[in-house]
Amino acid sequence: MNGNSLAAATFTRRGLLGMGAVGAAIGLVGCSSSGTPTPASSSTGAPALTDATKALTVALWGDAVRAKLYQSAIDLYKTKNPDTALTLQYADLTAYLERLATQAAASSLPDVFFMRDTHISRYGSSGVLLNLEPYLNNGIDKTGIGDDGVFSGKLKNGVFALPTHYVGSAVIYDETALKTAGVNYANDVKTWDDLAAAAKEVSGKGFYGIADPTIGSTHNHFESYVRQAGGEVYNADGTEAGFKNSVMEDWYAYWDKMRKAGTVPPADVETEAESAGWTKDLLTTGRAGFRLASTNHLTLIQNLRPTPLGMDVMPALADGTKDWRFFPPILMSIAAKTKGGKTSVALMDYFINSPEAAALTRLSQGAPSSSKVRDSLLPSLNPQEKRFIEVISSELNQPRRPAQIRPAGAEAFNKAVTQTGQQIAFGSASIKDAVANFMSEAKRALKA
Amino acid sequence: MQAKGRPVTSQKLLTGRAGRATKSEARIRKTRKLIAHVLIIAFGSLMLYPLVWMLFASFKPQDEIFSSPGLLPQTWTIDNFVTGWTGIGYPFSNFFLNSFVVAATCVVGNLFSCSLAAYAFARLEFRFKPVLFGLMLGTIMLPFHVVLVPQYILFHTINWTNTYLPLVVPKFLAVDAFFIFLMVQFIRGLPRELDDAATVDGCGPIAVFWRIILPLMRPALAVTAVFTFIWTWNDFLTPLLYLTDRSKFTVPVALNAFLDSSGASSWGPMFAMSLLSLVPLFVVFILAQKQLVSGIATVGIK
Repeated sequence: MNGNSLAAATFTRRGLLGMGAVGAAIGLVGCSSSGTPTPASSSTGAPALTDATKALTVALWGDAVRAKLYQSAIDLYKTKNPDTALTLQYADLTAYLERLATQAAASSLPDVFFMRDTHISRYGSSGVLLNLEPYLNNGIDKTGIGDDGVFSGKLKNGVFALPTHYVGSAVIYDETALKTAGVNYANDVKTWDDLAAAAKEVSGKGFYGIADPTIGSTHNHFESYVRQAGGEVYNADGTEAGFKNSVMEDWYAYWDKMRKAGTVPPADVETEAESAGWTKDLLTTGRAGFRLASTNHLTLIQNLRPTPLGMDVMPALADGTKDWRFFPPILMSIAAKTKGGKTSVALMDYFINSPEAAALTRLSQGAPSSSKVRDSLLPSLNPQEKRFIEVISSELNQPRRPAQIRPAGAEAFNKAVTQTGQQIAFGSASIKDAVANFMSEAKRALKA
Repeated sequence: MQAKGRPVTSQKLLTGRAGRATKSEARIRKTRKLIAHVLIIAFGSLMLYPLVWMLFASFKPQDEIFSSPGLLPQTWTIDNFVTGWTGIGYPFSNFFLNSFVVAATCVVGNLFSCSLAAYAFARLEFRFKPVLFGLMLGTIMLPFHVVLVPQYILFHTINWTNTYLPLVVPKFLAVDAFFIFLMVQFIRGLPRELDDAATVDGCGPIAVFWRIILPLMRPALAVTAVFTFIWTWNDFLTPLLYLTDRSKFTVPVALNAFLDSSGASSWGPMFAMSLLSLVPLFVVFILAQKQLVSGIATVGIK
């Protein structure tokens, strides 16, 4: 070993001091640049929108199949407006959100892009989205989506997104299994107890009554239950859970009772069934009779199995509130720093309100948010798709109190709900303990 | 095994007292080898199983991939390859070419810049060398997500987004501290007398580098080339962030377009194309195999 080269690279005291100085300088530079930019001040009048350029980027999440549908919708817009140049960016959901976050930090967001309802409050309050309030009925027709629609993207200081599609909650069931057991959903199932009884009727050897919704990653059905019981998932300022421990305990007790009776599969069976998308799901593979799902899952699951499926509305609590319904929206936003404001607003109106665009994109993202567009689409749908639109349209016509915007920290909150469900399903904690644990975990998640 | 109380050296154990292997000792040796081979083959099969599963899954029709428990397909089909090839609107050869161009350029960049930087750190003397060496090592410890956003802002400001430049140009500026350090250790193992002999003959530092050090560094260069190629080929996040034009996608980003977590993913075509994307990696690895093993083994030891 050569001693010379070794000595050259060892740290002399001078070298160490030098490194420290450089490190401190870098630290100062890093800390001095501000974190979140100040939110855009709400404008008193509609700022005149101009188009510095007509070359815009549109972004969505999904796969190549969905991208093709939206590309054809964009091409249709280009034929109607020949001087625009639109490019489509897409990626799968997780990758899309990662890229969106980086683009937002670098102020290079796409001009028009789809936004998740779980992220709208963070993006909206950081000033990177255009306030759409001045353009409602002044560039964007809001009669189709109504005030409820506008509310889905409304934050304290403006409207930062509008819904293009809705997702609804429903119960999907195996028609043959129900017919054999003599159960008629529309007549027999109105409350949660009715659902439990029907599931028991349908269950048999090697065939579960209903799939377990408590250990997955989405909790729209739990939210429906909470709202039926009169509470909300988050409290008014989004700092802790808006429901009592007893509500959550009742929910888990309901599923636990069925699990012990064998109507609901044990936790390991359910985990395995959810491990590969829809391909191993209990309803897809014909191992369960009922499943709590979203309305747009009907066509998806039906494509994966030969025998017919039915879909109907969710059960309600017998003595619960009547205005509990809510519909997670698929939102669309415009970047605050867009250089083609006028065209972006027109494009958003096109995606929300144009029946021709909907005829091309169909139900890929869910049910179109505008009632006029839904009605125009009905004649061209297949029976399952028609059923999907019928269920969601009738549900949308029911009175409902406003749904909450997910506060910051909602993702961690959601994860905590999943973990609580898993603890109870796998038997590693009693319901009371798990729920009490959850409440403190939720407070911590929402504070962060 | 000791015989008659006398200490038996290992050599005697292998070859027997008379210098010839006795029957029982040979049998024991054979059994040990057999057991060792069986264990290694079993463990190797375990490691290879996911690849083998993917190989067979790409020949299964889509509804059979996750529903049939067996390894072999009940129905053999090449549908997945056909669909996957044109699934994203461009033939997949387009994405292979993109990935190859990016990976090859990154390899050239790394070989060029890292070897120069390593030579400077290992052989030359200049001011602030310890500070700079420490800074270089510091960049290895920096988590990637810390530099993600500032880098993106930088490249966006100079309008390099949606091009290959952010993926490739940094490699020509010696950003891979891991390979620089690898080469520094390697060069330190080369005797200085060679340098001195060359200097006496009239070589300046650049000539010493080019004529003496670089030819001797072949194993380290092979390690750098192979690992840069593999890591660049498999890199997902950087191309995802900087490339928005579909025609410019590299293979990992193109494979991602088969997935849809909010709907039904096209698993079959994705497995088929993933299988094909392994082929260039295997080829590169096999070509450089000899140099690679000797490179890893001899770093710093000469």
